[in-house]
Amino acid sequence: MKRGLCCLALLLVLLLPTGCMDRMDIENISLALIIGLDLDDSDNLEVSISSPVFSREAKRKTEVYTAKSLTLRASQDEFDKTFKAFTSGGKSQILLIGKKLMLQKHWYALLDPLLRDPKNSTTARIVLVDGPVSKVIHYDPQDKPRLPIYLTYLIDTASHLNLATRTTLQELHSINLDKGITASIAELRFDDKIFIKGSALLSENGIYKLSIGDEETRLLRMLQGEKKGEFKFTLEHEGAPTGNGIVPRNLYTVSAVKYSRKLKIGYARDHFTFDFHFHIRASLLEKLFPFDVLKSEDALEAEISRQLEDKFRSLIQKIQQAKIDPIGLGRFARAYRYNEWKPVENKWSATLSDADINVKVDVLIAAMGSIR
Amino acid sequence: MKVTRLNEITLMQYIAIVHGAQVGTGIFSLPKDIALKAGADGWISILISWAVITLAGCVMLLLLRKFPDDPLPSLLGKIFGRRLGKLALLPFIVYFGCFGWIVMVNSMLYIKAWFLPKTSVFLIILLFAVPTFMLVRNGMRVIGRYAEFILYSMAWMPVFLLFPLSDGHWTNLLPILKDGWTPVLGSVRETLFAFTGMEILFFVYPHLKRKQYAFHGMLIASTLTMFLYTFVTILCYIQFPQDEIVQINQPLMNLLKIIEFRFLERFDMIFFALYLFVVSRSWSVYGFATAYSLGRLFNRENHTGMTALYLLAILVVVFVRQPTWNQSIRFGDAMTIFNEWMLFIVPVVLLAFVQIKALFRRRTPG
Amino acid sequence: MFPFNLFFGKRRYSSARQNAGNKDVRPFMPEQSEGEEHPLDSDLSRNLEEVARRFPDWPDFVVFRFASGSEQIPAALLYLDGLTDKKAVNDNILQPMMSSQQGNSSTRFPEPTIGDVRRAHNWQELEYAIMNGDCVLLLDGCAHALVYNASGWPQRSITDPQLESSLKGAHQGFVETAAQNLALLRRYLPNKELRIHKTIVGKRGKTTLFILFLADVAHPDVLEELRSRIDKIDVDAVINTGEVAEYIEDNPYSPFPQFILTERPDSAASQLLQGRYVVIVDRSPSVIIAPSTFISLFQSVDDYSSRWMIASFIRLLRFLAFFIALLLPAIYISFISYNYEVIPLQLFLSIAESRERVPFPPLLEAMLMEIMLEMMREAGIRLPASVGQTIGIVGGIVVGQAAVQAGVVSNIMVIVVASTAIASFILPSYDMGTAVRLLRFPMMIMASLFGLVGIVIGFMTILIHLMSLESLGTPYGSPLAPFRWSDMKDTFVRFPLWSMVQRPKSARPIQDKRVGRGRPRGDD
Repeated sequence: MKRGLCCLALLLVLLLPTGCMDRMDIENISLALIIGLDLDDSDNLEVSISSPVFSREAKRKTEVYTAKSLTLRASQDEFDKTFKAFTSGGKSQILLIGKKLMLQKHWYALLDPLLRDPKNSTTARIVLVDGPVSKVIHYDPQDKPRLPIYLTYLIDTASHLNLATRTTLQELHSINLDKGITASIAELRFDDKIFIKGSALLSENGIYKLSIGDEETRLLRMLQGEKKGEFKFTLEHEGAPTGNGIVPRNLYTVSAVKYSRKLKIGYARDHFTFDFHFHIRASLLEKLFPFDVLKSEDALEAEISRQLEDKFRSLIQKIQQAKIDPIGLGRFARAYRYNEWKPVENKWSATLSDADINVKVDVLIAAMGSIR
Repeated sequence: MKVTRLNEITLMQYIAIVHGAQVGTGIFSLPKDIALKAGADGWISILISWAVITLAGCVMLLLLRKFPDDPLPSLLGKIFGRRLGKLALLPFIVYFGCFGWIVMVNSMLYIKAWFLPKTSVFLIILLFAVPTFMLVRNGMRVIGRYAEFILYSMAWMPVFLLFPLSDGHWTNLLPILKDGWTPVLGSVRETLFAFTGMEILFFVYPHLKRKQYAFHGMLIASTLTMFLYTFVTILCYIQFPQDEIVQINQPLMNLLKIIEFRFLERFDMIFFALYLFVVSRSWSVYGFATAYSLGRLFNRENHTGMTALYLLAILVVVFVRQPTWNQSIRFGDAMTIFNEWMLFIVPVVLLAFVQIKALFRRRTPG
Repeated sequence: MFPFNLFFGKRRYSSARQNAGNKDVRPFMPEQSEGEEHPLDSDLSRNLEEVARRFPDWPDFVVFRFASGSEQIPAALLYLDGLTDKKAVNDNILQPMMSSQQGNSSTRFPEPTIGDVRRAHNWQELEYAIMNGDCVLLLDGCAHALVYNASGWPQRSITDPQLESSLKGAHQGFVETAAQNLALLRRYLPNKELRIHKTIVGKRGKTTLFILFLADVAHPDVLEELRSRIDKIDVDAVINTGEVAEYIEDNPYSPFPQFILTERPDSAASQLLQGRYVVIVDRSPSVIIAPSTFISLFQSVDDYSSRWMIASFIRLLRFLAFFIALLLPAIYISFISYNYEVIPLQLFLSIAESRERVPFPPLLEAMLMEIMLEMMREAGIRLPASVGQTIGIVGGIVVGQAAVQAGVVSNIMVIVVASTAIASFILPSYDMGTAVRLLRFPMMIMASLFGLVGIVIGFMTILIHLMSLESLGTPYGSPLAPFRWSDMKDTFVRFPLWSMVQRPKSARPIQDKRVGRGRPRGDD
């Protein structure tokens, strides 16, 4: 018995070294830190990958390659043909999608392998590129860190400042499947340098619908109830002279330091009603005209409220006209008015365009800075 | 191994073993299984299952109270006589063996998917088998200590799930019971399967030192499991909309993938690797039940040989069959009925037998 | 066979539990074999002939013949030169006896002024006495010999123990004489309940063992177990305490020490107070503390002399060091070979850059560095202090740096190996430190084969092994497994002394309250 067990143990021990088939040494990996998907001029799928180079003998720190392929997974072969090491998507930071591609139906299905393989990272940020993706991905700035790191910081900072929305792959997947909301992703353009353009709003099917700028992104975020980050608005003072055209004498900037959002959902006369009520604590950042804030505080507050309400209204009108729901009002409708939601859940965006959305804003100026 | 002073377990160890036997690999796909049948209200069915399971546990304890020092083999021997008792032991051995197999193979499949896709299934099961052998052969005493230690040291795990909470949407859960009670009741069967493990009481109860707390311990153990499942399910529902969750195979893993720290990126890998400790509790307890029963079947005091046999059998079957995800899911479904019999029918039947025997005995001498 | 007994561990189940209550009184000497009962002769010259026959050719054996007392009785003093204190022999034995004084009425010779006198009635007792360093006095006409304890063999002066120096504790360490060690311990516990049992181990070596315990605190079952195991030792000689420990261990195949070996009397005394047993081995400066638990190997005397917050911090540091020493190289290997996704991006890039130049796979690189470090460590022990310093600097700094620059290892590897080395030195028990150093290698191999999963499985195996290990029948993993809340006051952190009213349960003391609460609460 003892000897038999001994032999068995020996056999098992000999089998063990066969276990290192999964080993992938870190220096033998080409990390696809940026993955870019676009359509070229003849509408063929183009996949680009930017991956860092670790060799000290190499002069450039990143290697980039663009390949034509049918799908994302099939393109891995193309990259392995030229990249130094095994391509791997375990640490993708950014997914750049070209606008041409995003206008196609079912473009989203191309991202399937990234979600299917458990080893892939689902926290890659999705960014729409207004223009060709290859320009962005081949950009190699001398005064900045590696492109993938630079872009990641850029998107994250922009999201914190609420210049653009930040949506990860996982979130996009959730939002696309969720009937109660449509997606909004960051958008950038390339013009000698990389610039954040704002946010791109997608339709129910995940196709690109319209773009909004940075101020509208802030408004959208406030409507979504996002509390983190900065919300700065530059407004025009009513009734002030515009100055001599060079220095604008009627502008001022406020920042919503803290705000609360109340939302009431109702259903009347066959359509939904959504009443937003914002209480904003603002602080004055910039004032280019004489105004005694201490004395006429109320007037200023009322003006800011009015102007913000107008801005909200115009954004909401844009959204309703485009038949999308980036604010996520569908979720609320489903939560609080389930019976009315159920029949229209599959055509929610169309239903929302008929809905009544009102915004009321109350501003309180909390601080005006060091000078009057 | 007789129940001696040496392998008595404390109340906390008892709770840890029962709770450990219940929590296996089911927790990863539980939110999806419930959502398929009941939608966002599925978490209520966990509470219902908890009540049902606790009731089943009470019935078991009522039966076990009459045999305070007899684990299952000797219990069956006392009820049915020696020969018949051994015959009656066979389906139990098959049951516990199969459940041990299920937990082990499922864990192996997870490991293969997440960590070691190219390593052979045989090798991974071999890896599991080594500590399992050490644990099972040492009997209930060491299993109790191990279970208790793991319970305390892995208590921080649910806390980490709270990290993505700020990105979630409570509105996913509302309104509660929107489609009424029917879908909720329809999903009770799934959640009941997740609470399997209560039948391990047959082996654990005799070792408990202070048997007056057996009921309290069982209640606490199943409540812990219930809290854990409800917590995980609600968090998954908050994070993912219903339309998405039915398409994700393991919602809990997706939830973990979102967690990112500055010093550690893919937290889900670390989490799952540590979760192996938790799951090992479950399959070792089942393995112990099988090995011990096999040992008593062949009249051996020491079940070391039987442990080796059991693990060897698993290794051989794995090597030959090379199980896949779908096979495993189908096997689990097939075991559901077996499970329900074991949890509900068997204790009642045994209890009835015992009562009838007692009645006979009271009548015949008189 | 080695690996089996780790898994299939043959444990010594206590025989004492089977036959309890065997309390026999230990005789003065080991068993007297038959046929040695030759009594001494009354005639001095015949005795001396016998002596010459029995102790031939021993250059250090002295037979000093003299005439004693006023009646000038022929006498001979036998002793082994070098084992006796010649001044005491001279002043206290020879001087009084050789003076021409009248003896008192009961004896015919003036008594030596040494208190400890025994009688030897046969040759075996006489041989034993001489070989233990006593002086034997043979008198003409006397059928027994008188044995005087004038031992003065070479001994070390009491110094700070080398391996366990402490900052604030006493700087006395045990020496190689059992009696002195006994005295040191008595100083800490001048208590009637301190019992001492004496045994002799080893056929040729005849080493004296003292078992000490507090009778009203220590559990008697454990004593039975300990004594039965010591009695079973059947060997020529026992040179060091480590050998005794290995003979009476529960599981000699385990890498972990099951007893504490300490050179500090204060540490031994505090363990006695917890209800444990101390075994003093003659000729060896370490004493065995049994039973011990895994956690007690992380406690050091300084913890109780420092303030409790600092002590807690250092205790936590030790546990951290345990994990670092055991797991850091394995984690490093697994992260760079199998689970690179876990490393944050910036760190990943810098590690990849430094690894890129290294031609070896991570396991080989790690093994190379670790083995180099172990060799340097061993070399450092053998070298004299002056050269040792140089090796430290040369080996550690220069070779490491040169290896990195030559591209043989990556600099992250050097950091990992250095941290591991430092961490393994923090552990207060030398045996535990070596156990961890040893276990590092299987963990590295598991990590290089299976990555993170391998580490988890390896750690699981170690954990289960620790939980099933026992020290003299008490669970080794206590107070973690089985979990005892009351003992947690002194496990990971040290609670203030006034809150530790009870003795730790792991030693199963039969009286578990230390005396009262030492500190008045509040403003009393």
